[in-house]
Amino acid sequence: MARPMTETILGIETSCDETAAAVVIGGRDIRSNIIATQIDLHAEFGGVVPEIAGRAHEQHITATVAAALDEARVSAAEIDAVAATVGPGLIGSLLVGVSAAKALALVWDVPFIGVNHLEAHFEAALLEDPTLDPPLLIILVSGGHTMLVAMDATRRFQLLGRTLDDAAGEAFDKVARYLELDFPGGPVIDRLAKSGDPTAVKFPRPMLRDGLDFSFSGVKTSVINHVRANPDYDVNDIAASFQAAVVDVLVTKARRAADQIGANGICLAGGVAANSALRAAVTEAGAADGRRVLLPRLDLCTDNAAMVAASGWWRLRSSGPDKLDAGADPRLKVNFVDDLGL
Amino acid sequence: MSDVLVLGIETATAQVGAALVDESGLVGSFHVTRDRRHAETLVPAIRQLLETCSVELADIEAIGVDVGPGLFTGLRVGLATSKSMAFALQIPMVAVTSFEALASETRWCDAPVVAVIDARRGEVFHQSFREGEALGEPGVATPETIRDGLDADAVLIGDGAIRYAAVFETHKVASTIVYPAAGAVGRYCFARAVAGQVVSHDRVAPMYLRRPDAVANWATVSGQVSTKHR
Ligand SMILES: [Zn+2]
Repeated sequence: MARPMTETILGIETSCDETAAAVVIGGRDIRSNIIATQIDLHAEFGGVVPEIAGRAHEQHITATVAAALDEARVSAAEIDAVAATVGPGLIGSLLVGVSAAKALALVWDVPFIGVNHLEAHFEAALLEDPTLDPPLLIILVSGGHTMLVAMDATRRFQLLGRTLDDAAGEAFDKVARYLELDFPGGPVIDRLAKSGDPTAVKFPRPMLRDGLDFSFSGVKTSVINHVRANPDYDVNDIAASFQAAVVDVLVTKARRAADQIGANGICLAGGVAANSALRAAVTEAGAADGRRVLLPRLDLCTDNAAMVAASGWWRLRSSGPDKLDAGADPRLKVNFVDDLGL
Repeated sequence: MSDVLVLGIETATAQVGAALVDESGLVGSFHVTRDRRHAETLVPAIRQLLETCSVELADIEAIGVDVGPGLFTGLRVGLATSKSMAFALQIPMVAVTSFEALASETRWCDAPVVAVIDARRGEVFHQSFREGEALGEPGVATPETIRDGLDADAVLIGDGAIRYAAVFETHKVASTIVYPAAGAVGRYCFARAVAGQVVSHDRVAPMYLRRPDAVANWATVSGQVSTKHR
């Protein structure tokens, strides 16, 4: 059955602590992108408490979906499919979105599409500018993941590099916690770093010349050791120097990976893609290498449902709808291709 | 009101179920107790039930849902499903507690009935009824505490009564009333719907009776929090 390229897809995202719903037409035209964040509920715990997250999702899911339809000014009859994140994420959170999406698909008699949250992040930058042709090099940096991924024109993915220990965002959070900064740590370090000297402390750049994998645990440990040894440290300088070390490693390896696959462009993805130093460094690298750079706008970097709807649109083409007996998989993996032949 | 038909949804315990009820009673029902795959099972079960009973989605006038207490994740599956369906169908809802659904099966009994639901960690959720009407407030307590407050002729129902049968051995445990049934949720919903006692989906909230772990116990917080995938 030929599907129209202009399908209107409702996306739902509840994998962690944002309850989100969005309407996207044709995999790229964002008509609404509603995000109900729970960040205040979790702040006092310095991390996301799964049961608190699950409760908040249940409380907000229907109103969030209603708001997404309202803002998009589409009626239920115009929705061609419902896509929801089925993993990875917190099981009790994922199941709220999956259950809501399947119920809506049942009532509206439209396909249900289960979406991989990471593949959705890969798609986010292209929502901004779909004119960039693959192959693309995607830098996924978040609290849970650090990956260099190649994407081809049919949305097949190859894993080129990944972190061997802490994710980049995790390193930000741990350093922030050690410095007794607010949760979440990433945005706070970014803000303090603006008033600091990134060359004040030369933190290590682990494995800089060595392959495409990452290791951030050592950087975090050096920060902690430095702070212990220098109790009168300047927090702005520490934030700037730590951030510079992480960004330096990320961008150096991303450039190498982009060369390796002959990438037409570099896309940032994931919550750490909101980091201003990383955005600046990737932009600079793109200019130096004559390569286009796509930076998703801030509400598309962090968890959102527009990327889920867009990824669902591609998935509907590549593998068709999912069955209504689908569940959620907290440890769902990206179906990486061993070698895209790039 | 002769053509009122309602859908009852039940996912608050180890059992997942759906039922259609009209003025003649139970039109059809589906229950599975094994494996706790509520999210996987519920929506296909509803679709199958509708097909088998020759009922169109548009024929449903209200949705009843068990709002708990029970297993947190399970009851959220039922709430997210039923609220989304009610929203999409633009029909009202009726909230039923697990206690009410269980106790509705004991209206014939003139002794006091205590609905006891396994709450894990050595505790049970409980509420007392007589002839289907609540006598006290819902609560959470150890089985021993419940036992010590029981009337001599009290009858116990629910999976908590069966799990702690040894604690309750001095009392009668009605061992066939284990889980709240979707049919009971449906019948309760039907009666309320006919009486016009329905609410909008946005007024339906879960009854947890327990605070989230991290709030209840700071000592375990570090083991509970998850690094946010940002
Ligand atoms: Zn994410």
